[in-house]
Amino acid sequence: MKARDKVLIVDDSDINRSLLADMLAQDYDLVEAANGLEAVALLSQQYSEISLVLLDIVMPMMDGFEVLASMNKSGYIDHIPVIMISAETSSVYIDHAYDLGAAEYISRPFDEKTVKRRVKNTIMLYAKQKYLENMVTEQLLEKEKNNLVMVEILSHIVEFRNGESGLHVMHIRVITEALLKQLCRMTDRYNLTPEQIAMISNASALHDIGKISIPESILNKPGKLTPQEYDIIKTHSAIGAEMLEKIHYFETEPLVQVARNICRWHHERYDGRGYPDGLKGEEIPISAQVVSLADVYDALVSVRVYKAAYTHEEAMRMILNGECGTFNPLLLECLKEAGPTLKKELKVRSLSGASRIELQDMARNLIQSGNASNRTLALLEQERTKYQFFASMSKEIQFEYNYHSDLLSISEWGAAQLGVNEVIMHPLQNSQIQKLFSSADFEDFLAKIRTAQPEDPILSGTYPLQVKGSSRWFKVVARPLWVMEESSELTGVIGKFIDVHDEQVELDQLKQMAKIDSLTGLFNRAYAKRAMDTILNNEADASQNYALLVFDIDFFKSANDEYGHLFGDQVLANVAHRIQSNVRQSDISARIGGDEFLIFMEYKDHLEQMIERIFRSLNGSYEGYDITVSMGIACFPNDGSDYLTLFHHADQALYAAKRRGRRQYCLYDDSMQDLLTGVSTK
Amino acid sequence: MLSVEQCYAQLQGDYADIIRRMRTDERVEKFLAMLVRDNSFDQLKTALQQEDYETAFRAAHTLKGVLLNLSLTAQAEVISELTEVLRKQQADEKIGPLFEQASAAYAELMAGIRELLEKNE
Repeated sequence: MKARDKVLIVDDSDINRSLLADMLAQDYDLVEAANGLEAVALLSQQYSEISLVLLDIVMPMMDGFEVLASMNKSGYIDHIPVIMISAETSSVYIDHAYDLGAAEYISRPFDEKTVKRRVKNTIMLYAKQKYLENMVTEQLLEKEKNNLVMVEILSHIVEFRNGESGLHVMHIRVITEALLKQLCRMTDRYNLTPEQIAMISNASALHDIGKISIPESILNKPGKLTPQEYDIIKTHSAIGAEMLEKIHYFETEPLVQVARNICRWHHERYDGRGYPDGLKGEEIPISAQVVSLADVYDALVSVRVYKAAYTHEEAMRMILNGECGTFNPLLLECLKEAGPTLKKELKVRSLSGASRIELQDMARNLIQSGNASNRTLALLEQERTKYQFFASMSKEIQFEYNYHSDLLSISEWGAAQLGVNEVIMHPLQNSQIQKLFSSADFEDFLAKIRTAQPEDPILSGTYPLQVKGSSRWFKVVARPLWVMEESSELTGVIGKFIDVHDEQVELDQLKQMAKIDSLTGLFNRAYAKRAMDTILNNEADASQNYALLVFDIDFFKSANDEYGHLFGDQVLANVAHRIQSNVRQSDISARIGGDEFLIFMEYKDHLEQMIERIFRSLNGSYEGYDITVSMGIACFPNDGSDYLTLFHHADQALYAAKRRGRRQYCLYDDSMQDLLTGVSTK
Repeated sequence: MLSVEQCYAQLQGDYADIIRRMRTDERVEKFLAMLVRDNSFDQLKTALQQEDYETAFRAAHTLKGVLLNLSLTAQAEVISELTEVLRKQQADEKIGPLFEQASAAYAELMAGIRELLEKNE
């Protein structure tokens, strides 16, 4: 069943599209576009399916002329006919449309008959043209085959004139081939390659081409020829050779050169008694020697106007007895060896109409090969359909960018996800795209595309995209497309965006977890150190003041011992909660060991007041358990300028506080230098 | 019961032409109903209010095409005149009066079609 042709209707008016659809729906599959942009997108997606475009001129977004221009740029205009439909009657418009490659112009109001007829005719015209184009291209590729066809036709013309059976040419070829193959088996004197054997066999068909110049009355004379007539007949070998020498391809085509030798010398004899040149022995090219023997054999076993057919055995006897002239003894050996094969081969090939069937075969092959490009297209189309199917199933944001048309198309589902159009012209200047990416990210992405190489074409990156008002993480995987995969010419980019927001958030959480103390939600010691290092090394200068508060819970061991570890944990969490409600976001607070904590904070003045406030807030009771802490404080820059020094001094101050009876804080001063430390400094 | 032919006569449309092209009254009615829902005229009106002559030209052009396709010749002529003035896509003193004329013609057209559709419901 022939697939229905698909027609694309492009018109901004719903009514006009419906009118056309009404007229065409019975005979065609239809796709509709409400403006030029949609049309261009549909064309780039379905160009091999669309047989014709009905195009309005005046439309929003992109008008009909721009669509034609785009089709010119992409080359679609050569394969997809466009019929313009417009209420414009001014010749300027019409001319412009034709100049841009429109095939037809229909003005409004249109009637059904006109539209149907023009659509049908235009599609037929283009289909025929396409078919012929296919034929020509594929035929050019099949030069060898064409040579054969030409040889075949030429030699059949000769035969037709000779009144021969139409099989002679084919017989000569079969016999020649068989003899040459046999010759190869018996000697390597002639250095015959399989290619040469094939060429000589093909060229053999032209051996009698010179007969075309011999009057028919002589050629087909049933009775015995007079000596004068025989002399005329004998000219055919030299004439045939001359004909071929004059052919334009003589210099360049080995086939023609071989054929010329065969033409001139296929009536020479090994003993020098042949014509036209009286060549002797190996002076005669082997190709002509073989064809001459084949010619004689076939003449004997075939019916001629002047004789009946001899049997294979009779013919063999006559040749071997020298009744038909002298031949190369080696070739006679070949003939003897190949004899049984020849008898069988010729019988098979002599079935009536065999040569016609062979020609038909060839013609069918040609037509089939002519269709190959259509078949390739069909396969391609199948792939595309498959791809589209999986694309729609996979719920992925897939995109395709074409440099030529500067058009970005995004899969339907993907465009909906991103909240952008499915088709975007000039994406680099498009505000939707600009909103999607931050400009730095977009630059980064473009740079990756530009630097990708065919050896390693796949690129990827992870970027936050602004999707429908919120920022989400997307991973993009893409690859540029090159002409023939050579980096010289970039044709497009394909790829997809994967929403990795949840994964990214999870990753962030994992990173977060690595710095958080799970029991209290405060930072852990390692992170607190890193964070303080960062501040002290990079941010803090001598005009800023920071205080490091190190403290532990007095007699915490007793809470664990008396109330259990679970309760102990609750106490720790309670202290953490007290810390968090009394420090700022910018302060660093951490649990640095069992019941030991630190707070690192900036202060302006009134250090004591601030410490006092925090100290008080930490003391209190939890579920009837009294919480008190001991605290040591060291200050930047006075007591130290790096983490280790500050920590060590705060720790010594803590020890001092404990020595003074706990439940108090103590600011570091130089008198504490020699004290032991309160907490471990590991 | 008002026939499509009578309706066309009232509206000075070319019934012979539309029936030649569309063959049946049902189809003509279907497209007349679509025309009632069509927003080209509203677009034209809004565009003119906003002095957006590019959009106005496009809308007028589209409307002209639709009217021609429906053989509503009298209205198509009026809109066609307006379209030609708008083609320059800039302000023109003729636009005002022509739009008045087009509005009246369009209103009459809508009323005529509605009458046809309602009576035949």
